[in-house]
Amino acid sequence: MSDERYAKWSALVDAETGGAVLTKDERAFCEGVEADSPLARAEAELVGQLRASGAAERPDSATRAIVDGALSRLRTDASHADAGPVSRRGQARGWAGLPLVGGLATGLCVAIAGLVWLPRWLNEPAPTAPPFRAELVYTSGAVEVTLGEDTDGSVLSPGTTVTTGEGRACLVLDPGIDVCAGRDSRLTIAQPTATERGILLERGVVTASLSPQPPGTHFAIRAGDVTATALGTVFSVQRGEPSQGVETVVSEGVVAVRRAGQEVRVRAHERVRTRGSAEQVVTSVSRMEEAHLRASLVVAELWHGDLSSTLEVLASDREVVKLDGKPIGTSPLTAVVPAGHRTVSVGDRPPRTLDLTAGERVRIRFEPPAAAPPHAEAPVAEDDARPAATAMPRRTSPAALRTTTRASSLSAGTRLRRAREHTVARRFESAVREYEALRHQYPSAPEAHAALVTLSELRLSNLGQARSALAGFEQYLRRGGPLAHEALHGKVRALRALGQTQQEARAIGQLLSRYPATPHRAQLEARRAELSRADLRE
Amino acid sequence: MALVAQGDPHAQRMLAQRLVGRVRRIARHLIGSAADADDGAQVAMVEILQSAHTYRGDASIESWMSRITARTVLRHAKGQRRWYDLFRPRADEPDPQAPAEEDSRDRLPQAIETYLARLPRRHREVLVLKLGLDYTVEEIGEVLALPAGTVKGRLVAGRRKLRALVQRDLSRKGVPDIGPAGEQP
Repeated sequence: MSDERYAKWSALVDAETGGAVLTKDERAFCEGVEADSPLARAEAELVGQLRASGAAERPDSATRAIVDGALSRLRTDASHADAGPVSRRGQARGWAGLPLVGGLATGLCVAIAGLVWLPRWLNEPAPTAPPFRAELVYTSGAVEVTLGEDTDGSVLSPGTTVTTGEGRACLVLDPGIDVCAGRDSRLTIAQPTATERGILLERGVVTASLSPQPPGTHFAIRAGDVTATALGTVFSVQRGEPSQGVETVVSEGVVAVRRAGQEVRVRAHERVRTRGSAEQVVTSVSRMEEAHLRASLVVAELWHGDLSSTLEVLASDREVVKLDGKPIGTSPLTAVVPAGHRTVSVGDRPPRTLDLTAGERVRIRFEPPAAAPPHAEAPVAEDDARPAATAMPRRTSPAALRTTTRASSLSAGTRLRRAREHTVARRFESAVREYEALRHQYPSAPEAHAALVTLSELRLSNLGQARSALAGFEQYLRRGGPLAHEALHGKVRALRALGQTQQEARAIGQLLSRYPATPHRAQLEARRAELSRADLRE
Repeated sequence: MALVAQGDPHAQRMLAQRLVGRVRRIARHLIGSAADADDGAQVAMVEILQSAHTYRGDASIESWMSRITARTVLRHAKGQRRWYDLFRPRADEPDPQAPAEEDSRDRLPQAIETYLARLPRRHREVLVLKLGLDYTVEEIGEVLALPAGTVKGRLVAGRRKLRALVQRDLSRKGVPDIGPAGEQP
């Protein structure tokens, strides 16, 4: 066979691959060459294998695992969908920023400094995609934070790095992920995609606790070439020197630990250690170790209240700080804590009482006993626009006034809970009143925005107030949010109830175009066809 | 399919068991790495089961699921790459010049999966969609968000790379570059 024939064959099959259609003669020529040339025949054989892409593989344990995993995930997604959006964070904490000032705490170069009231953040429209927020909610001892490029006030952007020396630090990642870094750790916040969030652990140990995550979202901790993906759980990942490898310990749920394409499922009370090229081996965890793991997350209860304040405690290095008699870390310490009447103490010095207002930031300094009497308060820096601490007269900044007003009435969480109770008890008008009060008192809170959809739904489905409902759905859609699909569907139904058929058809078109996989598709298409027929008749 | 669309667990399992082999093969061809492909296959399987209500019966279930699988697996693979890119910058493409494993070259040419794994991703994806799943150039362009001209270029380049890999493997075994079967040059 000649070079020319093979070259012609190559050119023809290349053209066919690129979308050209061969003539009968050309096809016959190609088949002839494939019969003669081992190279052409080998390539044709490979393409034949490729054409069998749609053919089934023989079932084995891996295919069974895929089926079981898919069905399990389907059930989890369905249960999440039934449960609605997940959030266990208080709504008044979004303001708590943690910008930095340099410090010389313990020879490491940084301490966390001021928390800033950010009223402008509250007034910004929410993004239309489900938000991914990371906030620093706790630091104790020496902690260094290098902000990511897109950090905006309190909201830390991916790329933000937290380094602990003698101290500890905790982050809250939305929705419902607590991450605490132990001593001598360094981590970076990551969000590779809209639905994936994670932590890159460069050294040390991080412990994570997750509430059930929304369908389709993932959280993972990556340490070197080891990736631990949480499947709803409490777990820790520790990365030591290269010779020590990476250890993943699971206290609750399941974690998929992957390395070099090999995945190990680690269940509650188990650990897997990955070192060098050795195979990952799962072993059990002692109760003591597990208790140690959980202890690192104990402080998480501080910021899980409905309304929170931020407390900064300055004292000599590494003195034990207690809140309401419970140790919460060592000084210097900054933490998001529940608002209300609190007692703070450091070391053996007499405790001080504070009335923490939601959304407020309070700095309190404990001088060494010999240097100053216990009641002495350090003045807050002149450029600090935040409310001063405790016994000092509170500054009358707009922010401070607003927080005081808020705290004088029912909290947003209480309002929300009461509204839900009324709804369950079918006291719809009372529920509407609570939702309205929530929106009136906390107009910028994310929950208030989300409540708009529930409120409008109540009006439409239970009170026959289609016009008010329509206005509510449209208001929600103008700002956008994770409930946009529900709001748009509500708008369609409200328009139908109002007999505004042209607008209804347009809204149906919008919904189908924005959410092609909507579960209401068949019903909406039928309705649109009905509207179209009616339009033609007219 | 109606039962699957209604969320009947038994029907869902039956359908998943019927399709999983195909889903897995497509995922392996598109992704190249077996472990990553199984993740992609699982994501695709979930998508198929959740999309059961979109099946209208105007094509075979296998054809319908192939489309969903390809789309989902490519999206999943893209997300995975972002993770890797973020955490550990590495070469996006395998080295096509890298020799095959010695102990796997007893049979030549090797299985298509081996060659696909050695192809650059941009070439692997278009070849699988075109030759494996019968996508048109325009459809590939739509799925990958590429102009048709780029797709054609990648298809031809991918085919040539595949040819080069086969030629190298066969020449190592002593098979002549060109010539009738069984003849020496």
